[in-house]
Amino acid sequence: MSRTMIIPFGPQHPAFLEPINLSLEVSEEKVSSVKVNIGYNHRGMEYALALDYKKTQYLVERVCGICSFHHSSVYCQTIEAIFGIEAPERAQIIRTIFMEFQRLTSHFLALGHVAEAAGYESLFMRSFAVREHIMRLLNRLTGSRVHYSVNIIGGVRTDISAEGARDILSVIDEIRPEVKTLRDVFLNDVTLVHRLSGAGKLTLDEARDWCAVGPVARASGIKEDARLDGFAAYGKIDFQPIVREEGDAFARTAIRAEECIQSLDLIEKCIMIMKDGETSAVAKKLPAGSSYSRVEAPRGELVYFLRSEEKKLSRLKIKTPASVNVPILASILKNASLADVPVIAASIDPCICCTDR
Amino acid sequence: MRGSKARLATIVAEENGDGMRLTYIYDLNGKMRDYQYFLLPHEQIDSISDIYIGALNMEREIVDLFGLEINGAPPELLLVEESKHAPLRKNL
Repeated sequence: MSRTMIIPFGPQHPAFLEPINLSLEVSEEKVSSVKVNIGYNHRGMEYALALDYKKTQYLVERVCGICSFHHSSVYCQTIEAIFGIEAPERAQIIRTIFMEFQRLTSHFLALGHVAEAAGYESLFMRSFAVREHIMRLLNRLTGSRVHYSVNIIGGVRTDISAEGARDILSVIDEIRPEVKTLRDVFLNDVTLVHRLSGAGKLTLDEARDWCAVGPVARASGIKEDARLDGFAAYGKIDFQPIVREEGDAFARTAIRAEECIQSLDLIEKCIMIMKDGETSAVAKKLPAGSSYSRVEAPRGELVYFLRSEEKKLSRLKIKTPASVNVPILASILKNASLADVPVIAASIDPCICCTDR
Repeated sequence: MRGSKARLATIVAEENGDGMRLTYIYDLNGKMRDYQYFLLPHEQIDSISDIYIGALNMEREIVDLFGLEINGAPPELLLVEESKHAPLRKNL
């Protein structure tokens, strides 16, 4: 006779960096149902960010540490629409470059954690070693490894000099062979493929029902990517999203590995098309109005909605990709083996500070 | 919208006088579209999580932060019982 027990996975757990609780009902090592409990990291960011729209330029980066630049970019994009201004072309290209660098750091973090959850410690270390090269480059370019404080309303406050552009191209040349090697390992290593294939399967219809976005959706065959809108400089560089059909942990991991190569190519294209010019437009008094805008953060579509009265914000709403992707765990962990829970959870790339805000 | 394979991107709740304004933002074939609904004070609505499962947490967040009553969307997603009621409402 099988016994059912409830195993609390989190909020403190070695597999998770941030607090989330998965209440797993387990019978004979198989998960029969899951309750996803969030809110441990709720900080009231939507309230705090609406208090002073100028300070929000910098505070908004603190919503998340791994997609911070995307948060500040979409905030600036949205409020620029209310101001009725557009960031200059050079600023748009600089924003694109930093967004792609942040995608690289985020994807390598996610890939490293998937490797670690699968017991592949050396692959985790090598993923983070490549990531370290990028973090040091970002430190040289902006003075910071995580929160770059580059975006301002109207453009950017940090330019990329000719020397900085050479540094970027040099680092890309240096890490590209290793990035390709890691991509090949994630896609072809027999143990890893066997471990991840079939785990945490999300069908196309389920992905639509759950409103999934980003690599999670693209791994289930949904060809959606906010970069196709052409925001920032994406309209000026050739870009097509990477899509797979399997819908499992392997597909999600493979997409992130391939997107790392794609990000290197996009950054190089941006450097090639970057011309001299202004880096910011003037934004004077904030008028009354409302707008919403989106960018493609590493985990998927990030939407900001703003409403302003004269000179101040009355509402700021953030929809993060993790807030729609994390609840999917309730579906894809059902009937999974208990031992596969960390790997499946890591393949979703959960960001709890984005989920909870 | 579900039938046309539109994806529900988000639901934005705002105060509108004593009532509420809900803006449903969709992605339809790569383009964003929004639909606004105005609610009277204390008006209840039904959850659309039977159409989009992903809408449930969006609605539960609104229940917690604005105190709106949505049938089928229980509270205490982000907040606990002891938390300040409807912290994003100024007019309550």
